Amino acid sequence: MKGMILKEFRELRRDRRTMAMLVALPIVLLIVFGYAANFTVDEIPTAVIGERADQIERALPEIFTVADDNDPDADPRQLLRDNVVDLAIDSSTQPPTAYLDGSSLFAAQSADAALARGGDAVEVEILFNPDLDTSWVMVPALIGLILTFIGTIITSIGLVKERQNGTLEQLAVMPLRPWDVILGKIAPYFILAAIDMLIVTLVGVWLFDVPFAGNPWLFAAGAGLYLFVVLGLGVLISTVSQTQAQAIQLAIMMLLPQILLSGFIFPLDAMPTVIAWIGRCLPLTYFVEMSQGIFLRGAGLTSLWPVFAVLLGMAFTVFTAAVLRFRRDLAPRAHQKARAS
Amino acid sequence: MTADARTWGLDSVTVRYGSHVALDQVTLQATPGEVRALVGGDGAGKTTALRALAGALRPAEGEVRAPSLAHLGFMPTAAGVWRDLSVDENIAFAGAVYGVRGATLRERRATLLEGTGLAGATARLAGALSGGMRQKLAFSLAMLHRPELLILDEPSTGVDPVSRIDLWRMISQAAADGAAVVMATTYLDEAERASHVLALDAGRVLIEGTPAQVRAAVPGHVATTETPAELAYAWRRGASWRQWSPDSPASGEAPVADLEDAMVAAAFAKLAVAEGESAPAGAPVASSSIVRSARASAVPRRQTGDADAAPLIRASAVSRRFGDLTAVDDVSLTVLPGEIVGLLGANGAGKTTLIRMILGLLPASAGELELFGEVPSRHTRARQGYVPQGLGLWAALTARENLDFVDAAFGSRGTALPEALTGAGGRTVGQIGLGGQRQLAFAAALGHEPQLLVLDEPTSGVDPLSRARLWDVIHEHADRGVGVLVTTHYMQEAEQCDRLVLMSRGRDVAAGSRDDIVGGVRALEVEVEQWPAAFRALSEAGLLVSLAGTRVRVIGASTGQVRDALGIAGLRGGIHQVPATLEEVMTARERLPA
Repeated sequence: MKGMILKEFRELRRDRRTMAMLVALPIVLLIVFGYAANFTVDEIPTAVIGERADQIERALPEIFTVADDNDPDADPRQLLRDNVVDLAIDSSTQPPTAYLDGSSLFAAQSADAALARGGDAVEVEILFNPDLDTSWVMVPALIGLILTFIGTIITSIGLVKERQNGTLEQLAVMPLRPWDVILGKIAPYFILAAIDMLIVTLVGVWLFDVPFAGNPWLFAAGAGLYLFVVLGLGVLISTVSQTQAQAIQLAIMMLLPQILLSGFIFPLDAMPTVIAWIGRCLPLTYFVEMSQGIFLRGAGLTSLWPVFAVLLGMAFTVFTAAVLRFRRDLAPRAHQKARAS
Repeated sequence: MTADARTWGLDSVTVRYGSHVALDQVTLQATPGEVRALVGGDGAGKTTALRALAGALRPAEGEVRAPSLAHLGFMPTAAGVWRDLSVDENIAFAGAVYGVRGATLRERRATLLEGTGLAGATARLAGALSGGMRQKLAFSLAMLHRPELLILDEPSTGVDPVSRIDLWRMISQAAADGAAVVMATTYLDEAERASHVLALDAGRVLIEGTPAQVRAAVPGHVATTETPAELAYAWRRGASWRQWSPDSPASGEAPVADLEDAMVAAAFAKLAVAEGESAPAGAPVASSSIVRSARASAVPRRQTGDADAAPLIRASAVSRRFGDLTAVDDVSLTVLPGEIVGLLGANGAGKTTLIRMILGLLPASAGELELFGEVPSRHTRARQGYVPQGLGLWAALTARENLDFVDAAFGSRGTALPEALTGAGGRTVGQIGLGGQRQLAFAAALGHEPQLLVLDEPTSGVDPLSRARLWDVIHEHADRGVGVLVTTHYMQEAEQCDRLVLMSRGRDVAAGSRDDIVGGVRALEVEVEQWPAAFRALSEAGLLVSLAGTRVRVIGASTGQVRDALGIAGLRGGIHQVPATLEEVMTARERLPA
């Protein structure tokens, strides 16, 4: 048995990825969970409008932070729709009306609780998700998670299988252009994932009664961009994996932080700055923002353009990197020329 | 010591997997000091028989006589080594398992590492070794505890010729030391050197005996001819044909030349019996799917290597470097229309790198490479066909779908299924046996009527009849002017080629026919009563020794050296000069100082 134990340890030592998962993962999980796992938002971006704005601002509890460039003449509903703030208090009514953004579920809950402690001083109106229903917020985000899962894992497995079976080499010696192979290989996954997205969206809306307030075409465009990102990630994973098991392992390592840090389970606003910044580097974060915005608030490009710009940038970078790496496997000659010139 | 007590084996053993009978009443004797070869194609029952003998499965009927596990060495097909462990750690683990330790372990380790040429690689991971080295390590692990019964499942499949000679020498050594060795092999030249051969077919014993007995026991007779009379039972051997007929040989006619011919003839004999039973008398025999089609007419072999024709492949002074390593060094090669060129060499000789450059998978670092007189491009690829070693088929697609995809990629149309798969077009590749997969890969590579065919180890692991069939296909295409480049580890396959190119350490070191390459190189054959003692004495003298039946062969040594080495051990025997085999020539090139 001693020989067996020794052999197993020696083998494990060589399997770097498994060792990394065994040692690094618990530490990372602990730190991320410890800091990020926080449902309580203790800082709520607030706008106060109307002529008594200054007076109300001074009376607000500490949890509500009013930006220095607070515009007393803005439209409170528009401010919430554009996701500028999570709470807008209109002082022109009697009592003042507090509009809450129900699509920022945890912020809205915290705000609602804080305002309730002040008695009937304000009239509270929750927009976009009046019952603060969790599933309304979760379903639009889950669509992104499902797409990430399918796009990344299925694509990388499909490609690695081709490499493992030696058929990738066979493709490389056929009179096909590298683009034929790359696009021909990715298009079916894109189509399947798009169909998946449609099904999940329709079933989600139908089963959970989630409203779809925005423009479906805008949503389709955003989801399509996002698909390019996740399929590109899948291709990238496949180019650095020799076996399907390795591909799955890597894909899971990429998925885990997205699930935890993209803001759809734990609000980004409640995370420490560093962790929140990690979250802001992950594509799913932007899908969640885009999806919840269009689904619940009916947000348009005027407010979502930065999200679309980030997704576009990510799609372009990841997809280009993936295609270049994949092309290197297929057409070494072209690669060589490029390097020589 | 009674012989019986130490004779291991199977007695009328039957093994069933569900309703499938994998082994039917098979009897096998394993005698100490002898190497017993188990031959047969894919699904013949070789692995099942070995696993039954090793106690890895329990037979439904019959008796297995094997020593306890502590005295048994087993080397499974997929080399039983731990890839994430170094060579040393693998040996340490096997030592711990079998209780080999201390001085004994050190002595065994040194002997085995020396014999396998692994001594310089003890710190390398087993996964980073070449296929041949890994097989030699697996053999060392199975041999570490000096088992009484050594069971080897295709130890040399996919192993380069030089490593195969090493392995064979070590197997001989184990037998010389008194172990009973049972090994499965698809290399019939290897079986030819064993003391006893057992041919399995569909779970039954087809023929058995010493190699000479097996050759003599083949029903009917085999003739060498330029123009075969009946194509159904004819096959190619290089430039000429072999013809089997069920009649007994006329007196004075030469007996079956080798086991390769013997096994093909035996397969035909079995088919003839089956056809005779199922078909009414006088019906044509060629209806069987495995028999070559009558469509292929007996075109007389055309003059090959038409020197005036433009070469299909022209590589001049091609080199390829990976960092500091020069994998291919200044190699020149041409393939003319209608020519079959064989590329030989040990692992690491640069064959694969050269092939990959020719296929356009790898750019050359220096030199010029032209296909069909052009720089390789997407357009030249449309005119070449390639069958990789791993076949390159899409396993999840059916046979038909594979061909459809290849048709689409090459712009060809309606490539027909190979005859052996007629009616099986709807089966996925995974459901087709290895032989059928190979034929499918050939059909896929030939569907667009390429002018150049590149084959990487085309028949490794295939039974003799299927091998003969595949070579018929290759010859047919060469007859029509297709140029063929073949890499092979299989020396009988090398004989099928018109011209051979031998590579060693990245360079092309010899070219020409088999005889040109062997040239004047000779081996010495030692005939003595006590061959094990002679074998030990000669290997202790540091000579390159191997075993052929009960004769010991030595290469790269003078008669005097051999006589002296035998003299020290007090042995005397006849020493004859014989022509070396191609493998021995290659081994001498790799192992002996120039």
